Order: sequence, then C-alpha cells, then structure tokens
Amino acid sequence: MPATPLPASEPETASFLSFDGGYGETSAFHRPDRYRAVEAAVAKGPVIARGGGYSYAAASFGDGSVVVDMTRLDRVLRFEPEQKLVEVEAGMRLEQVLALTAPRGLILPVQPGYSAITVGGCIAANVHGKNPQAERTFRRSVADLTLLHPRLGTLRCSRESESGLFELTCGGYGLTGVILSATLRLEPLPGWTAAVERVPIASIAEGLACVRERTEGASFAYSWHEGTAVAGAFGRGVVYVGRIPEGPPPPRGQVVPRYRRLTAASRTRLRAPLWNPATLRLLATTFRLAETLRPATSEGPLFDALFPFARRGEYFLLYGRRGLAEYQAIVPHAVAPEFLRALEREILRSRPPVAMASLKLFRGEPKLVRFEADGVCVTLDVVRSAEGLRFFEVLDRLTLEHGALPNLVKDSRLPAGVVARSYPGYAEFRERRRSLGPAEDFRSELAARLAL
Amino acid sequence: MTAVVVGASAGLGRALCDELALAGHDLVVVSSDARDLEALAADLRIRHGVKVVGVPLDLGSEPLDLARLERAASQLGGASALLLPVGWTAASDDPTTGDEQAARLVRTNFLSVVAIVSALLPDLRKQPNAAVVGFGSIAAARGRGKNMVYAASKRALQTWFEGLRQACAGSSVRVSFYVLGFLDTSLSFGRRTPLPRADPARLAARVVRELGREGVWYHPRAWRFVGAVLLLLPFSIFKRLRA
Repeated sequence: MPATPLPASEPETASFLSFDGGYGETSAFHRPDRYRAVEAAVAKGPVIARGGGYSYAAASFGDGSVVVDMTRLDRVLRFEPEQKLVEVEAGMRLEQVLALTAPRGLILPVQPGYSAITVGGCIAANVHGKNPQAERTFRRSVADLTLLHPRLGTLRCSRESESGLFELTCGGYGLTGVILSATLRLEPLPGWTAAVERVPIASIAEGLACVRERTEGASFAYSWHEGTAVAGAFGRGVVYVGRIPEGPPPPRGQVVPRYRRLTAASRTRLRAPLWNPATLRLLATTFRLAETLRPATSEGPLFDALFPFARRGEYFLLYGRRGLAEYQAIVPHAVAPEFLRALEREILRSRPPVAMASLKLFRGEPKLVRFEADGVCVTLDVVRSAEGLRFFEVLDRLTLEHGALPNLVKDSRLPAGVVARSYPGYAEFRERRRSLGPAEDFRSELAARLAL
Repeated sequence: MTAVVVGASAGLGRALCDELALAGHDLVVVSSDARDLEALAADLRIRHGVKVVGVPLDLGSEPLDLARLERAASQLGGASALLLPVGWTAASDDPTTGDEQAARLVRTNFLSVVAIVSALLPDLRKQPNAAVVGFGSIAAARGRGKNMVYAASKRALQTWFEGLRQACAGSSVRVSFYVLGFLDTSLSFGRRTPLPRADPARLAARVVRELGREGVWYHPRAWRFVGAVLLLLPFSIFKRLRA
C-alpha cells in the first residue's frame, strides 16, 4: 500500500512587502513543515523560497511565483563542536544558531544586522557582517548545502562536489533551487561581551580615514554619519571600533534576550514617517551627541553588538508606512575618497532626506552577481519620498562612474542597466542559471526587474 | 521519564516533542516521514541533550509494526507517557469518498491510535505514574458535509478515550483528551477558518504542564462554548454553515 499522502494543502494568499516598503505584491504561499511538502510545492512551480523576509528588495516573492516559506524547516541536523561544524535546515534563524553554538564557545563568523534572518536567506543573498574586511561574506562559512531543484532533484553541493552549482547558489538569490540545509563552519567565540570604542569624527573623509586605520586588529570597525549636512559640511558622526574581550561563554537559555521581532509588515505600523528635514537633523544630532557623551569605551552584551537593530527596531518604524530606501555599494579603494567627495557635493547640492550614512571596509572576490569585492562599503538610508528616490538616480550615476558594486538585496528599485554594467559576472550568472533549467522554475520580482 | 509521541514530525507533534525534551524527557518519536523523523530526532538530541529513538510508522497503512514501537520504548526504560497528536485529512472527504480513502482516514485517525494505545497500555500500567493523551477535533462536535470520515473518526476516538479513562480509573494511568479548535498547522493551512488558529507551541506547553491531569479539555478553551453552540443550533441554521 502506498504511503499516506500529505494532508490536502492548497496555498494560502498573503500580501508580501519588501522590507524597505518599496515593493508589495499579493502572492500565493506554502509553508511546508516537512520535506515531502517542500518537494510537492517545488514540483508545481514556479516558486521562490522565503526565509525571514528581511531583504530590502523583493527577492523572496513576486513575478507570479508561489512563495515557499521555509521557516518551519528549522531543525539542527548535526553539531560537531570539535570540528567547529553545524548542519542546520535553511529556515533556522541566526539567533537559533547562536543559541545553540554560543554556550559551546562557538559562533558563525558572519552575522548580518538582524537576528531573525534565516540561514537560507544568508546564503542566497551572500550577506556580510560587521567586519567583511576580515570575515568576508557568508559563503565563506558554508561547507556544503543541500539544494532541491525540480529537474535536478536533491543535490549536496560543496566546493568539491557540484561546485558550479554551489558557487551559483551562494549569492544566487534563490534562483538556482530551494536550499534545504547547510553545513556551516564556526569559529571560536572569545567571550560574550563587546567592548566598543567610540571615536567622534567631523566629516565623512575623516570617517573613512579612521575606519581604514582602525579596522585592522579590531573585531569590527564601522562609521555612522548624520545624514544631513550642517554648515556646508556632511558626515559628522562616530566610528565604532569593537573587540570581544576574553570571557566565559553565555549559559544555555540566556543567549537571545527578549525582544519584539520586527517584520516587513510590522515595520509599517506608523502610518506617516516621522522623518522630515527638522527631525532628521534633530534626531541625528541628538544621537550623535548622546554617543559622544557616553564613555569613550563601554562594554555591553555581544548580542546587541552583533544585531544592533534587534532591540532598536524603532529606527525602522520612524520611516512610516512608505518605508526607507537604502543604498549600499562597494567602492574600490582607489576611488573611495573621490566617490565620497562627489557624494558630499551632491548631498550639499540637492539636500536629499538622508537619515544616516555608514562606511566599513570590505574584502572579497567579485564573481557572478554576488555582493563582494575589495573596497569601501558605503551605505545610505534615505526617506522613501519622491525627493529621496530622485537622489537614487544620482547614486546610480556615482556607482557607475566609480566602478562601484551596488547591493542587489538592499535596493528595491535598482535598475537592471546599473546591475548589468556594474557586475562583470552578470551575463555569466544569467547563462549558467538558465543551463539548470528554464528561468521560470524560480522567479521573484528582483529576478524579473534585474532580468537575472 | 520517557514519552512516546505519535505523529511527531510536524505541527503539534513537533511542538510537544520540543516541550517534553525541554523538560528533560527522553523520547520515542513516531512519524510516517522517515527523513523528517531523522531530522527531528537529531534536533532534539542536539538542542536538548535527551535520548531520542525514532520509529517510522505510517498509521494509514497496515499492518503496523507495533513490536518495533514497544522495543523502542523499552530501549529507553519503558514509556510513562503516550501522546497521540495524530490527524490526517483529505480534500475529498465528502459523501463521495471511496472506500479506500475512507478506510485510510479511519485507520489513521482512529484504528491506529487504538492499536498503539492497546499495545503500550500493559507497560504503561507498570509505571507508578503514567499518562495517555489523545487529541480530538471540534469537527467531531457535529457532522458536516466535508471532512466527514475524519470527523466521524475523531468522534469515535473521543468515545473510545472516554472508555479508556473508565477502564484505567483506579490505576496509575491518567487519561486525558484535548478537543482542538483550529491550530496553525498544515492541517488547517490553505483553508479559510472562521476563527483564528491557535499556536501549537502554546498548546504543547499547556499539555506538558497538565500531563497526568485527567479529563476532557478544549483548546483554545473558548471552543467548549463554540462546541456547545454548534450542538444546540437547529439543523435549519446549522446546514447553512459552510466554513
């Protein structure tokens, strides 16, 4: 007698929104809680896998695809502390991985800014953490992954086996298949606090010089700059230089503090944005002064240093229902000062509603369409308004003029032309992706907009 | 303590396993999906440090290899709790359901549960304190034109558990039965539900907290009232309820 089939399950329908609020679409979705259910969903295609839904661009829904919500597949499959390896399912969130490994004195080296992001999402977007100069990107931590493809079946991919597919999937935006699980490499966790030094800076150029000087040897170093220009100058702020002092690992059950998890939908709780030219200046100046008045160095929970927005989700609420627009690009070292001067000129000229800017150093190997290269990672958060979005046309121009690499998952309006011209591996990714099967198998708004 | 959870790999079953393992109980986990069972067992062992034995068993097929289940329980020192969060529905469970599907529905939701309890009861009786927990459905409150065999099986199960409770009265085995409203699991996914779906993790926490307490309980508790109203509704109104 054949095995009992799955319970009859039709997809549900829900409204999905990119985390920046820039793109929304109503889509059918499945939420499988066992492997057979994932296979059944993928067989019907076109689909796209979704993790926590924290991509600023619509990478996990859209273009008529059925969303496969992977968050119910969040089991630990293997944990070998001696080998510093952990194998988890793709729907496991970073905070769950941390809760498991930190008490054993181990940690994933790359931790993006929010704790509820899933491992599958980290691989698909090849995310980076606080110190990509030292840690590089998430794919470096991936020893192998298990991928489900409707035509190829279930494949274990690594640098040694199915290496082409492995390379295409890390930073492949979910367009090469559904990641079921991954084996991740861990690193020793020195302690459970972060000592953060705050260095006040008067300009963005000073911020760059400080970040360049202080990154080497630090656990992380990044700058924060006020988004508004004051007295003809832009970029006052603080450089944060962090290190993890030696100390005991956290006890089990005390790794992840209580916090209210923000989602793309709950981010829109405030109807109107609280950012306007006056509040932008007031809040940014208040924050900067508060930071400079604190002791130059202070020690706090590592969780807060790893995930600064987990317990400060209010920042995103301030943008209101319309949301924010984020620009992030890696600018080659040689032209970074010139890029920042041009950026400052444009900000002083058009006074766009920029809430904050940030710099950190990046090291990586640019290939296909994954976000990594050697250079300076420049981030701007802008209020999503007509004026703010107009400024992105200037940013696109600066990106192309300086040979920078824009981050595909941070900008929900990024045009295909900019990506095609800035990513040397763009055409190769398109070609290799199509060699796996029709592009219609896995679709998303991001893939359609960028013609991936 | 060792607990046996049947229907363990997803939904309420998985939530129960998590709660029981968190409380330090060793587990025998039973599910039809061998791959998920393996993943679940690994997850529970690694995250909670408890002993877990997986037994792949398809409750819709026969014969059931109950000897394997009994061996697994004795491997962990004998079961003192048996929880059966079992449920399987089919899209075409209406008046035209064929006999094969009807048989599978009855077997999965009722007969296999009965068979498993019967097989493990002698060992449970040897324990100083033991618990058997069954799970019914509000769908069984009153027959409707869909999920017919499922609802009938769940009603049969509730009656059978009532009998089991009487049979075990005075022994060390406590019998409880939870009548469930809509839960946020794959059983209700994709279906329009007139009331919100309850979180299986909260139910699991309640069940584990109340383990060993006898009786029939509703979850969410408001469903006791809903069930009573459904029974009192005149058929002329009841027949119009489509959800």
